[in-house]
Amino acid sequence: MKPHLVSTAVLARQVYRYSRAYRFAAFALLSFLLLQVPAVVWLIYERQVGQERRIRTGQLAADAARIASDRRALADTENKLKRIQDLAPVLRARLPISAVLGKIEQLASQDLALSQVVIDAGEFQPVQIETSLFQVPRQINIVIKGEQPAQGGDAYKRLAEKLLESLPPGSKIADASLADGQPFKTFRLALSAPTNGNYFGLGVTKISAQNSL
Amino acid sequence: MAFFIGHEKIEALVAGVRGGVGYERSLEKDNDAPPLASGHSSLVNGTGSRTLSRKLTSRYRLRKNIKHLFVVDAEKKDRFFGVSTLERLRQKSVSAALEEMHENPQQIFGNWPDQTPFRWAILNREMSLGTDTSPRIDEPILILGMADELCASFESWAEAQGASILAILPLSIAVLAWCNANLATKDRDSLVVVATDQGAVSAAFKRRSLIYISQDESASDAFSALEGEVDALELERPARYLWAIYHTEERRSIPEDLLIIDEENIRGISGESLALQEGHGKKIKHDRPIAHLLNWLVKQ
Repeated sequence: MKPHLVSTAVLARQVYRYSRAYRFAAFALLSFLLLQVPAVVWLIYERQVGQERRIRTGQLAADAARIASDRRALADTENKLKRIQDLAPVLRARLPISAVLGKIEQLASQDLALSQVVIDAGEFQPVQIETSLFQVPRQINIVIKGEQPAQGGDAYKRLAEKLLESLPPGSKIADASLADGQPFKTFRLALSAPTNGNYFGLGVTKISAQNSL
Repeated sequence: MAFFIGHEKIEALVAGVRGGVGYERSLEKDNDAPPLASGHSSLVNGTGSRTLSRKLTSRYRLRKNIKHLFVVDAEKKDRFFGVSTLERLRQKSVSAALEEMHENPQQIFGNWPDQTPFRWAILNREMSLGTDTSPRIDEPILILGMADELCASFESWAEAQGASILAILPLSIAVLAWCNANLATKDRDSLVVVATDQGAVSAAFKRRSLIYISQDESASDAFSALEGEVDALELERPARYLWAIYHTEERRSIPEDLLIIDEENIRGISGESLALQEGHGKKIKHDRPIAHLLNWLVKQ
């Protein structure tokens, strides 16, 4: 039946509401919109993450600016520290002479009479610090000369061995010779020790921390 | 659902795909009833949790996709019927005539007395309700109109019910369409009078083509007017029919040789009685003409 005396507005609404074509179109449109939901959720999530990232970047930039400002106040101290750090190879290559001498004094037996103790640096390596060039020794040579009674046996050797035990690892005895003579024999000991070892064996104690000044 | 909307009475035929399944005789008592033909609601609107249409679809176990057809016994001032031709209307097509009637009815009808906006429709001379009308310019057409406000009240009610509207038809036009489709108007020229609460409408069919329509106060007035027009309309021994909804007392003053379409002979016309369930759940035979009319309309 034709829709007699029904207004066009009502007919149009009925077509939108009940027509299969419009229902299918509405279904297709709703399905399309539903398919957009994950994309919209993802976009919202990405936007939130981006916003948080921007906020964090801003905070980090502010922190970096604050740190840079603080650091400018410490620039002078930093330069001094750097120069000290630069001197580390020079300072590290040192031998506590007093400790060596004290050890020799402790270890030398009463039979031995020392006539000469020579402590000398060797195997120099050039190290540039800023504009200066330093010769830094890599090895310390210790030469001890003296006399022992003819019947003193191997007292000079024991001195050499005990001193070697007190020196840093890598140290070695270069010479341990005894010359004939009456009533005293003349001996000569030559030892070499690396400069970058530890000298705890000589009685040197650690201050508090390795890098502490 | 096909509603008969009277001035004090509202009836409804509830139909499924295969036709009528239920009949409601007194819907005007329901709080959610459609507006009466006067445009007013029978009771104060007070819908419960379910609308009337939902209740009826549940009662008769029908689908929720509800369509409403309103057959309205409108007051004389709210309706207009006329037989004319496009040539006389000085229009080239039905759509042009409808547009002109909508915008300027005075131009079409000469002296149009009522300022009330009307809705218009045009049927072909066979009064086919379901086909597009494309008559020749000299072919008779039926012009029918109904007050816009009255039609709008049914549209609003149907929308509130969540239903779509099939059509809004004046009762007399629906009856004449039924008569032309079911009576022997093809074999004999016919005079048909439709008597309702709002007066009578008389029509003349010449070999199934509507050639005359008029509104009168009563069925006897209508037949008197028709008798005067028989010669002018060149009708040959026309058959006379009366379709009366309640006016049985007027039968005494109308011609003796007419066929009254009532409960007694409707089975002979429609072929069988209608067996329709009612609100109490029992199936009852319905032979009232209005029930057969509504059942025929829902199948169109």
